[in-house]
Parts: sequence; structure tokens; C-alpha cells
Amino acid sequence: MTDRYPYIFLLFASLAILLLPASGHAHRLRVFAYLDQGEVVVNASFSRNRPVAHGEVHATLGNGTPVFQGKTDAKGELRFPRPDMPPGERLVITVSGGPGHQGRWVMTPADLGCPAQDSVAKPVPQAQTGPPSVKKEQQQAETVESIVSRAVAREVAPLKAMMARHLESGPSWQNIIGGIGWIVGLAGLWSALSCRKKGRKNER
Amino acid sequence: MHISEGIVSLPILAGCGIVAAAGTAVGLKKLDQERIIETALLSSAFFVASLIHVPIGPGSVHLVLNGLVGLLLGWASMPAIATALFLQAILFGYGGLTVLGVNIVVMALPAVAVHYLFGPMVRGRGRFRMIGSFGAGATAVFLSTILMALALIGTDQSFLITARLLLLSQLPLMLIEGVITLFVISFLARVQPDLLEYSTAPTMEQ
Repeated sequence: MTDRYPYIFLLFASLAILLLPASGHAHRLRVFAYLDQGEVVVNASFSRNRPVAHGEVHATLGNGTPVFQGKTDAKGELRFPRPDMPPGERLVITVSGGPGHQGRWVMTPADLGCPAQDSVAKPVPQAQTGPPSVKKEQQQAETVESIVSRAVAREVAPLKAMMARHLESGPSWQNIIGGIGWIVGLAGLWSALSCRKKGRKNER
Repeated sequence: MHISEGIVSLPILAGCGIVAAAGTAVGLKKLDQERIIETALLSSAFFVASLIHVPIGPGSVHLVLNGLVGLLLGWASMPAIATALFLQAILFGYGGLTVLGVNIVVMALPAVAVHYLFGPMVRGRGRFRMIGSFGAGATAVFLSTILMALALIGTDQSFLITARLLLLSQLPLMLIEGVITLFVISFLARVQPDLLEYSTAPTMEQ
């Protein structure tokens, strides 16, 4: 009975070896979003960087209120202006990439460059009541801050895109071999339990 | 073919969870000790099959192999596929743990169905066996697609168009799975015919 297993094993091993190089991706849908120069950039892909082309994108607030709806391009990317967010609110981005495939990404107020709820609750009174010189200084500071923010965003954008690609890498060989190991281990365990049960029956 | 988390409604999740648990229990009960290694091998094949993508037109489809698993294992394909799907969910992130029951029902129930529908044909000879093998591979994918479409439509009627598209998009996969099942069964018939005789026996109880 056991002499057939080498044949079966060889068959499936050859199938795997023949077909795995042609494989590339499975259908886990990953979404990654970040803010770039006032725009929300959404990247959606299946494993191993196969883009979710023309996938439906829904952006909602944390409470489910829709704020934007669109479709990804052929590269699985979509850009839309950052919506006006209530203070402390999260932006939930859901991408549907075909029947049964869906992924989502949550952008926190910090990701969106918005102040958090608690910092909004504490207004800064000096800005409105200070003398004209202080007001001018504050305006200058805001200008500098916006210039620096733009420069930093420009520099960081490729890093964010790289991070998105990294997140979208497919299953590793370790995971594949580990999974097969788990199946073999579970089969061994089930076999041992069955043997024990059979032994007890025979004893009776 | 995996359904992602957050798509299917709670009643369908619960219903499929119960059916999947019951089916897996039946499969484990019917699993003969001598067939555990064979079951593990086919479970591993199913586990890896989802990584194999076949490019079709602008997109691609991945292999399922539930027809082959069902034909050779019968009810034992329930625990075999359940184990593989569980590992795919935790290691690859395909599907998800909350929709595990739905995915088991979608992929494993058709496997059991083709075992009884095409098993006697595969036990036959020549052309009869070839038609049976091809039919099992193609029908398993067809039935899986129908179940998946029903799960989506049962959640939201707006999925009706999606379900139709799904059925069309899976047509090439049905042919591919049919051909692969035909190839594997023909190979097994040549090298180890008793495996087919044994696997297609209507009862596998100890």
C-alpha cells in the first residue's frame, strides 16, 4: 500500500516545479495609502506587485460616512485630494479588486497631517490676540513650515512607494515550506492518535 | 477563489461555518488511517496550487485542484482542504479566518460532490475515465464558482452582476483544471491503478 506514495509525491513535486516559476502572485489584496502634497495616494495590488487595475476605491470616515469614490488606474494607483476631515477622524480606504477580493487601509489623523482630537481641543489663544509683530512672525513660521513640509514630502514619496512595494511582496518560500511542514505534522499527529485509538480497541 | 474578510454577511458566515465544521468532522470520521499520508499529500498540493497562476487575457487565475482532491479523497477532502485553507489564511493572508467556513464550503463541498458524481466513471476504462477525470476537474470549479456567487448574492443583491462576471471569468479555469485532473488521473491509472479503485470506493469507513 505504501509503495504508491513515492509516485504520488513525485507527481506533485514535478507539477509544482514545472508550474511554480510561471507563478507570480496570488490574490491577497493589499492596500497602502499615504499623503503626498495634499493628495491621498492609494496603491492597491495583489501579492507580488500585480496591480489591482480599475479596482473600486471607497474612502469613508471612521463612522462609515463616504467621502470619496473612484477607481484605480492600470498601475493600481489612485490620487485624490485630501478630504476635509473632522478633527481626530480616521480615513478608511477600501479597495475592491474583483469578486470576493477586498483590502483596506486606515489612515490616522497623523497620516493625514491633521491635528489629533486632543490637540484640537486646546486652542492657542496667543495667535489671535497678540500684537501685529507676533502675527507676522507666525505667518512667516507657517510659510517656512509649509515649504519644509513640501520638500520633505517630495523626498519621502519614493520611500513611501518603496514601502508599499515591500508590503506587497508575495508569500515567502519559508511560509510555503512551513505550511507543507504543518500539514505533514498534523497528518503525523492524526496518524498517531488513530493508532492509539485502534490499539485501545484491539486491547478490549 | 478565496473570499476576503468583510464581504460576506454574518448569517452566511455563521451558516457556512456550521456546514464546514460538520463536513470536516464527517471527513475526519471517515478518514481511514492508511490514507492519512495520501490526504496530507493532496492537502499540500491544494495548499501550493493557489500560488500557481495561469495568465488569461489581461488577468490571471490560480489553480484550485479541488476536483482532483475530491476525486481521490471523497469526504476526506473536507479536512484536507480545510487544513490547507486555514494555513493559507494565516501564512499567506488569503481569505481570512472569519471567512474560513465560507471558503471551506465553497471549495470542499464541490470536491465531495464530484467524488460521487465522477468517481464511478474514473473507475472505468479508456475514454470513460478520461471524460470522468476532465468532468471532475471542471465541474468542481464550476460548482465552487456557483457557491461563491450564491454567497455574494446572499449578502447583497448588487453582487448579481459581479457573480455573472465571476462565472464567465472562471470558464478558462474550468478547462485548465479539467485538463490537469485528466493528466494526473491518467498518470495514476498507469503507475498505480489500485489507488483509483480504492479512492473511488463509495464507502471509506474504517
